This record gives sequence, C-alpha cells and structure tokens, in this order.
Amino acid sequence: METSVESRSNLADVTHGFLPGAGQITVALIGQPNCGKSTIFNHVVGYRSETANFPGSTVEVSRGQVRLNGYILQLLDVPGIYSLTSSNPAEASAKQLLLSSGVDLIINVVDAALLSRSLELTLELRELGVPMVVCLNMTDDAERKGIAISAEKLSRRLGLTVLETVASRGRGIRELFSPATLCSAGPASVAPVWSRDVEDAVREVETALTSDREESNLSNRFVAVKLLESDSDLTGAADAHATEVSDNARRRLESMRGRSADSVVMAERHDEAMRIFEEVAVVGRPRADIRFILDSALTHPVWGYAFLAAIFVGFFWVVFRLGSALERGLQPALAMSATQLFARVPAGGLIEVMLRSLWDGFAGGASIVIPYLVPFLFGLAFLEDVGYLPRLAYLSDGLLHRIGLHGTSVLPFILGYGCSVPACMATRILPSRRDRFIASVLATLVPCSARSNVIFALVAFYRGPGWALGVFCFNGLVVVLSGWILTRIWPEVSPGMVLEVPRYQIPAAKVMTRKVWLRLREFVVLSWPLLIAGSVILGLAEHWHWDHAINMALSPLTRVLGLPLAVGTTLVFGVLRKELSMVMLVQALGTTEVARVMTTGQILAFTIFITFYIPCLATIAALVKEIGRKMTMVSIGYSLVVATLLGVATRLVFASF
Amino acid sequence: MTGPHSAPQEPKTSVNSEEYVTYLDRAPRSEWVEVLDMPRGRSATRVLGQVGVCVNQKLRVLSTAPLGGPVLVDANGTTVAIGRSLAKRIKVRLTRGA
Repeated sequence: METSVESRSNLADVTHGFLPGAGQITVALIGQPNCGKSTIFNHVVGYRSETANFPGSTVEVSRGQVRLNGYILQLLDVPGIYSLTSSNPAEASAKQLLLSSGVDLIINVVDAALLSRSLELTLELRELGVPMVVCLNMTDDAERKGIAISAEKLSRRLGLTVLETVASRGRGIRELFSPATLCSAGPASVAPVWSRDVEDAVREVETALTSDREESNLSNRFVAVKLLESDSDLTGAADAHATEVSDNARRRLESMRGRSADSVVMAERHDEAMRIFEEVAVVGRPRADIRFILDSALTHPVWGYAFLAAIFVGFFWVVFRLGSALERGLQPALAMSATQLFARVPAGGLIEVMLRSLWDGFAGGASIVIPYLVPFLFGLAFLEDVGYLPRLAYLSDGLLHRIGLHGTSVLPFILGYGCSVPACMATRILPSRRDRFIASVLATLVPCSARSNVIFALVAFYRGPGWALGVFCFNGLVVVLSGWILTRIWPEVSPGMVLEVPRYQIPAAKVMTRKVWLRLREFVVLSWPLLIAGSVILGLAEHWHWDHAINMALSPLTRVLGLPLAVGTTLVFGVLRKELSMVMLVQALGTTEVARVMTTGQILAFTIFITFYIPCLATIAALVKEIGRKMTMVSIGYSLVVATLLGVATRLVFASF
Repeated sequence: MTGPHSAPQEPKTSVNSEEYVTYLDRAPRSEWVEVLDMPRGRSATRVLGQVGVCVNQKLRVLSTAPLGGPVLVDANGTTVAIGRSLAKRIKVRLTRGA
C-alpha cells in the first residue's frame, strides 16, 4: 500500500538534479501569526514584505526569488495561521496554497517563546507529508522568559530538522537556507500518537480513503483527520464510502467524548504539543523585564487611556514640529533656486509656463509633502514595530463594540493613517463579511499620510498645530459616527474579539528605515511624477484658459463649500493622489501664502472636504478587490455625501462667527 | 511560563485554598483561573483554542478594559484579549492561594 506521503519526493531528490538556472524549488514560510516569517523573508530576498509587531500584518502571499548556492529558490511569505482550519480570508489563502501541490518544502517558523502553542501547528503541518524544516525563531525571547529549549531533542521528537534563529538580528538565517539544511528536509518519520479511540477513528477513515486517493498529493492521514474535524475544504476529497465511514467515526467519537470531534482532535494536538514541550524544554526563572511593568501601565483600565491620548498627541506634535521645521528650511532654498533658474528664461512664453509648472510640481513634493511624510512614516513604523497597536485594539474594543464593530477593526484603521490600500487589505483579518465591508469604508475615511500631509501643511502650518489636532479628533468622531450609522444599516451581532497581544519589541533601526523607504518610494516613484505631470497639465490649462471650464463645471460644489472658484481643478487632481490637491492648490491660487487668499473657514472647509471625499484611485482599486464593485460605489457615494455635508457645515459654522 | 505584567509563578495550591466558580469576565485582576467550560459553538471554541484558551487550561487575568471591553489573559505564555461577550461565557474556577 503506497501512501501519498511516500509519493511526495524528498527535497534532496528534487535538488539533486538541479543545475544552476535549470529550475526552481518553491519554499513556503509557514507559521503562526507574528512569529517572524516576514522578517526571515526580507532577510533572504530584500525588504519586500511589510513587517509589523502584530498578528495579521501579512494578509497575502508575498513571493521572492533568489539564487542560492546554485539553485533557484522561490520563497513564499504566507499569512500567519494558527491551524489548518481557516477562520478568515487571510488564513484561507494560506491554507489553499498548502493544499495545492505547488510547495516543495515548508519552513515552519516557530516562536520559541511560545513553543507549546506553536507546536500544535507544527504537528498539523507534519501530517501533510510535505518535506519540512522547523525554524525555531526568537530564541533570545525564549531565554529572556527563562525557557531553555534543546533543538536536538525537539528534532528527534518531531523527526524533522530543527534550526535555531533570531531573525530580527539575522542570526541563523544563512544556516537555515544552506543546502545541507534544505536537503535534510523530508516528510516526518515519526507518526503522532493520540488517544486510542481517536487513533482508531483516524485509521478507520484512513483505510477507507486509501483505495481511491493514489493521485492526491495530500497524505491520507491528513485528509482523514480533516474529515473527522468536518473541514469543509476537504469534504470533496473523499468518495461516498469514505464520507460515510468518516461520518460514522465522527458520531461515535462525539458520543464517547461528549463534545464535537474537532475540539477532541484539537485537544489531542494540544496535549501532544504540551508533552513535547515538557520533554524538550526546561522552564527556569524569567529575567527581570521592564516590558512587564510597561505593559501593566499601558493596558491599565484607567492609565492605559491616558497613555493612549499622550502617545497620539505626542506623535502628531513631533510630526508637525519636525515637518514644519523642514518645510521652513527648504522653502527659502527652493525659492532662491527658482529665482536663479528662471532668470534667463524668457517671460510669458509657453516654455516658461512649462518649466515653471515642472519646477512647481517638483518643489511642491520636496517642500510640502516630504517634510511631513518622512517623520510621519517613521512614527507609524515605530508604533507598528514596537507592538503598541494590538494594545490599542484591546483598549478600543469596548468603544468599537458599542458602535457594533469588532475590536480588531482598529488595526486597519490605524494602518489607514499610513495608506488606505494596505488598510483595506488588512480587513481580511476580520472574521465577518459585514465587518470587512464596514471596516473598509471606515478605513478610507481615516486620513492617510497624504491627507494628513494636507492637514499638516495647510491647517497646522497656517493656523497652528492645535487646529490640526482638532481636525484629526473631528475625523475620529466622524469615523465613529459613520460606524454607528453603517452598523445600523447593516445590523449583525459582531463576534467577540480574540486577539493575540504580542510581546513588545525594540524596533530595529534598519528594518524601520527599510519599511519607511518602501512606503516613501511609492510617493517618489508614483506620486511625485504624477504630481509634476499634474502641475504641468494645470499650468498649460491655465495658460490656455481651459482650467476655467473645469472650474465652472465644478462651481456648484466649490460655491456650496464657499471656496474660491480656482480650487475646482485641485479637487479633480485629488482623486488621482491626495497629495496633488495640496500642491495644486498652491499652484491654482498662484501663491504659497494660502492664508492671504483664503480665510480660516475656507482652509478648514477645503481640508475637511479633502479628508473625506472620494478615495484615491489606488484605494478604489483595493476596495473593488476586497468588497466588490457595487459596494465600492456605495463607499464612494457615502464618502462624497459625508465630505460635502461636513464641508458645508464647516463653512456655515465659520460664517456665523 | 510567563505573562507580560510580571514574572508570574504557577498558581499556588494548598489544602487551605479557597476555590470558587465564576465566569472569566468576573475574575479579579492578577488571579489565576482554570477553564472549566467554553462557549457553545464550534467557531468560538476553535478560535479560542488556537490561542491556547481551552478546557483545563490555567489562565492569569491581567487586566479588564472598561466600557465593556475585553479581558486580557495570559494563556501559557500567550497574552490574549478576549472580548467581553465571549469572556462572559467562559466558566472558570478561581484558585486563591492561601
């Protein structure tokens, strides 16, 4: 009887016949959330996958290709999964990848500081029968917690190669990807031993499967266990006879144990993982750690909220101070350069219009966008990497539940302060479809770094940081109210929050810099050229008086918002990229001294409208992918109505003073 | 095993220890509890089980957020925030050291 485990070729066989460039092996990094998969991935292929210290930071498979020691390695960074029974779309995509035959080798990344729990997934993966290596990551954290693990004993116990790493410091990565390690991978030679009644049920189903599954790439034991667990993804893997046998075995097991078969299997894995942990690890006294005291304060029922407010006020204050200092420093230098540059250009001609527009687009990006964007992205990267965001989710769950949302929704919202695109994608960590839709809509209302830039460069720069903070607070209030409205339009009992809160980590400067560059590069290579092109188009439109037609077409909107007529064109550019609306505003008004031509009410009405109206094109594309075309239209319509109403309200409030 | 707030020790047990049964949302801060029963429904049991909250598991209550917010527990070294609606349905035995 040849089982499908045996039909899987050992990786050594795969790599033996490999000549450089002749082919590739596909290696998947699999592990529980927040165990360091993306950090390892980035070490090997360069920084391509965004990392952060919270579970669910990777929501789709990232791919990278490297040539290592003469063979081509296609490395996959797979979203974190707790088990092979998916509970959200991100986990489902990871599971689908594993169930397909496209993976030659699994590197199971295990958080050494959470070994017993992490081993539950290892045991499940082992049943797949795919060649596998265990990467025991974060061993420094385990030592700090007083846990001493014998990798050798663990390797013997699992029947798999086990390597220790500290991925955040690059320790052990070279050894992990050495040919010796990769070629040592093979399907586990040690079979799991569960309680007799469970083993009997598994073997019974396994036997029923054997006759008709020789073509399948999944091991019979894995399919048998999944059938007992009533896994809907595997029900099609068995014929009528095997299904009947598994149904009977499941019913018998449930009547014997008095609970569902899947919880029985889960308990068996849990027990086995605990047994292995006790055999391979020694738990001693943990080292004194300031993080314990810090966490006690930051999650305190009262002080936690005081710290939360202080952290966010401090964050925006630092961004504004640094941003405005940079802006003030850059503007005179750029103005002087412009004077020298255009001294020899004949005035009034088409060439001057084009050159000036080019320069305005470039200088706008350099002096208005970059100064605020860089400190903002560093601040956000710090909060992400230090591990504060899950604490924020914990603190805000009560409030979010009151408006009918899942507490984990706060993670996409916070990511939304960076960029709305990953924020929409991050909604995949939510279990309910309705929650994913509402969180996506709300995430697009959160001011992304581009819109924050408008707030900083317009409201904070011309009216002071207090006004800008007021805009951010007002935005938060509108997001909460919108959530309240949307959850009443689409009522549903939100499932209770279950969120793993990771340990604090000291962010590595190199990783943070790479992450900031990855995000900044999007502005430099995508938005900045668009900004310069937009500036040229606007300059030409003004030169040939076409802008008048656009402004007239948009005059009902600008009139109702109480804005100058010339602002109309900037609103159109804002749909392409939000930064454009700020830079275009300067160009449309013909001065950088915006406060001289616009009143406080007009500045605020413009900012409020820009903050809430139609998401940028990239976000619209992400929304279509996540929630579909119809719901994206609903989202766009909603944001437009909210932006117009709030813009008009702002105008009326300031007109009454 | 350790939690995030202090260097926790295994719960003390003695012949004098006072034990009583309650639900997780009512368990006092810093106390050790043992899970006796989980919420009905496969989905909740599975998701909680994945992060180490299952029957017979010892948990340490770290904090409870106000406004009906979640309960923060240490489950075998993993810190988990459990929404109040779920915590209300997790039956636990509280063990107070003598």
